[in-house]
Amino acid sequence: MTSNATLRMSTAAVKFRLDTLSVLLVEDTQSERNFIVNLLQSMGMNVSSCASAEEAIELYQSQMPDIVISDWRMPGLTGPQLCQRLKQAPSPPYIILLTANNQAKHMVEGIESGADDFLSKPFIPSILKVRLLAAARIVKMQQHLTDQNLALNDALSKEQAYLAQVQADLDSAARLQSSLLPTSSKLTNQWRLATRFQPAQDLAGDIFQCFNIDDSHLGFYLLDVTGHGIAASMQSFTLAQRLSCKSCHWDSLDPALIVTELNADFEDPENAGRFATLILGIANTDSGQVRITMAGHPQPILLANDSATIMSLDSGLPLGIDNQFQYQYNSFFLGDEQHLMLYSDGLYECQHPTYGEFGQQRLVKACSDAHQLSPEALLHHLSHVIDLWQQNSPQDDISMMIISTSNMSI
Amino acid sequence: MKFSPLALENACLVTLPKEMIMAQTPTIRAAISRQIETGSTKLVMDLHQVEYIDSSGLSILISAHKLTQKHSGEVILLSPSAGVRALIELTRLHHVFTIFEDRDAAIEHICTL
Repeated sequence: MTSNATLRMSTAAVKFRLDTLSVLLVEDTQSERNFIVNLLQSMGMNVSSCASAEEAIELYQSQMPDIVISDWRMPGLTGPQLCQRLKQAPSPPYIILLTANNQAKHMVEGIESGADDFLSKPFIPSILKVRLLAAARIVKMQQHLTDQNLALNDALSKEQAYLAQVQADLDSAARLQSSLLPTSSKLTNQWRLATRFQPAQDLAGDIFQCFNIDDSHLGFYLLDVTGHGIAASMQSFTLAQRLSCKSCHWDSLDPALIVTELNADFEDPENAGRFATLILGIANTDSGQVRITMAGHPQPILLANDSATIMSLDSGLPLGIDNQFQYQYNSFFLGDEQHLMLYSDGLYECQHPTYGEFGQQRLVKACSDAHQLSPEALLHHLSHVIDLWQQNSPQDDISMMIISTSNMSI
Repeated sequence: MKFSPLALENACLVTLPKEMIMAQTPTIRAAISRQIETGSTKLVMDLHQVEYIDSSGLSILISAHKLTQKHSGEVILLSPSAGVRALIELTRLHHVFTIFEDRDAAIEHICTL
């Protein structure tokens, strides 16, 4: 390869890298200005020029060149002064100062003004070319960084908008969930209901309901899907949906049948080991007979006038463990002045940093000590006690429901 | 958490950590599922170190149980503390898992074809 060919190639390479850039030349001597403009144009750059720093400031604002080359000594503002002004812009240009002498004092002044490079006059054209190539690298790197920053900011704001949307969806799902909980405290035959619901996050894995089946029977359940948050609440929605469906056999008055069917349909597609505990019952409000089927759920508490005792009903497996499982029901009578309290494990499993778990025994004692309270007041009292125990940082969903017979003396 | 191979090729002793609660469940579950998928279908879950377990911790045992059943394997539990045993009994899971107190007996059980 001849040296001419090498030169042509390097010229082409220079063009390729410089021709996308714009440059503003500030030079008060017309002959010098023409010479340098021609030189820059021959490199393929997009060139504009002016004779003073004042003009340069105006031109800069309209043209926003990538690079500014300025003479040092000019009437009016000097090169370093122009440099100081331009470097205050939000995205300042790359600045090369031309200097007639190479004194250290001058260099310091130039560096302090913020110039990026210096070139002493008179200069050899190839030196200017090399300096411009260095400038081009830096300008392009800065552009690249600016583009990346813009892209990042853009992605960040999209992400934030998405999160805001998710939060809004969660809020509306939480409202929907609350709206599925019992609203009326009055049941058939003047039986009464008191409830309390405190999700640990927006959405809970707990859900409960109590409603009239016919003129003399009421059905109730409280279920707790493993974990909390979105996946758990979807599962509890699904189960609640099944239980409220017409195909659900509440009219059989057989809780074991209902739970066996519900369990047979339980699905855990991700194999996350998800399961649910459930207490489901049917009460005859004429006779006070209650049938309850338990699926791995905490035992209900029987509240009487002067005491609270934890029941010991037979329980089957939680839902979702064995889809062939046949559940049984327990049968007992709820006497006058007795109340049945159902709750999820979040009520007694909450931890105190020093004293550990609240525990079922403490729960029964708290109920016992407060036996003179009405069901609503008791639930209020318990949730206050639990808040104190877990120091106002909810660890699990808490659901409570008290069903009372008609003849209430408290 | 630690996986220790046993005499039988597809058997493994899994020593579970002190805490098995919500925050840890995804990691523990993934590790155990991988262990089962790579051929360890007979697991002894050693619970003696476990101090805290909640229902999501129990769900790890359940998913391991279901996954090993698909591969005709088995999960048994070893040495749960009184508190952990109480939770297992409350949720009736002692009807699903055989619970051993003696390490050698558990290993012998799982290594018997």
